[in-house]
Amino acid sequence: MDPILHNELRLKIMAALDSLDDADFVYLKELTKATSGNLSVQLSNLEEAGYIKVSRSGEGRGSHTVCRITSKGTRALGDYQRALLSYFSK
Amino acid sequence: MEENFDALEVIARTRGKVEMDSTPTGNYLFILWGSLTALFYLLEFFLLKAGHSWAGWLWIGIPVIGLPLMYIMLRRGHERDHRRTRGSKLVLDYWIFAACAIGIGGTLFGFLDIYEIAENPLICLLVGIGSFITGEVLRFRTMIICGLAGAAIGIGAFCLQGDLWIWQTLAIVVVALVALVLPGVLFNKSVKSGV
Repeated sequence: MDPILHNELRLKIMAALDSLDDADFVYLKELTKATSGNLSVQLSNLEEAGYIKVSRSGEGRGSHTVCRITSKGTRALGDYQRALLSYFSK
Repeated sequence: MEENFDALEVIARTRGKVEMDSTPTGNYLFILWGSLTALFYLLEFFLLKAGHSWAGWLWIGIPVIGLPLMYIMLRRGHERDHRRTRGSKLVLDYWIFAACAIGIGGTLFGFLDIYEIAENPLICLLVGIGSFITGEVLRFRTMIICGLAGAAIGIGAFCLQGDLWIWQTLAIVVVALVALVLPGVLFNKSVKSGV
């Protein structure tokens, strides 16, 4: 089981981004009900793993963060779902 | 790091929520375009019956009124939303294609004076298919059924030829109500009740 994805908040972020072209920080925060700090940390973890691409524009209060899933992330999420399904079908 | 949660449930719930979130204006647009289409074509039907052949161009009033209203609604929606799903993009692309096809086709058929042959049934068909695709993306069964019903009426309208062609106009009114207004209202209701 992919340890990066086997975390509720990270999985929510990945599932949302897999359905969307891209999503900004405000929407992901509203969707996941996570705190800004926790969300930032998990986005960084996913970005470090190469599962998402984060682009930031502006600075301070006017800054805008947009996240997009990468092809590696899409593959990882697909593999993770298949692993779960095969586990439950045993 | 092992966590105790139902991962498949989390994925399904998140995707469902994203899909719902991405269509706040879609249901209102269905009601807007459906109502305008029904109203204008009903007027066109009665005017054509009364012998006013110019009423065949009355449809131009639909985009003239509908486009500015849609622009306002989409702008408001965009300010509230931060995202667009692949499904909602597909739906938008289809409706843009259908609107262009209806607009360009309507103008060409009108100038060539052959609109009574196929234009109106094609409009019904395009609208029905559009509602069907939208219903599939939103996983909203009522909209899928309404779309299929609209497309079926469109196919049936091809039979209204010769002296009966004026009744094709009424078929558009029925399709606008069945495939646009009705599913728009019902979807609106289901979103509000959180279904």
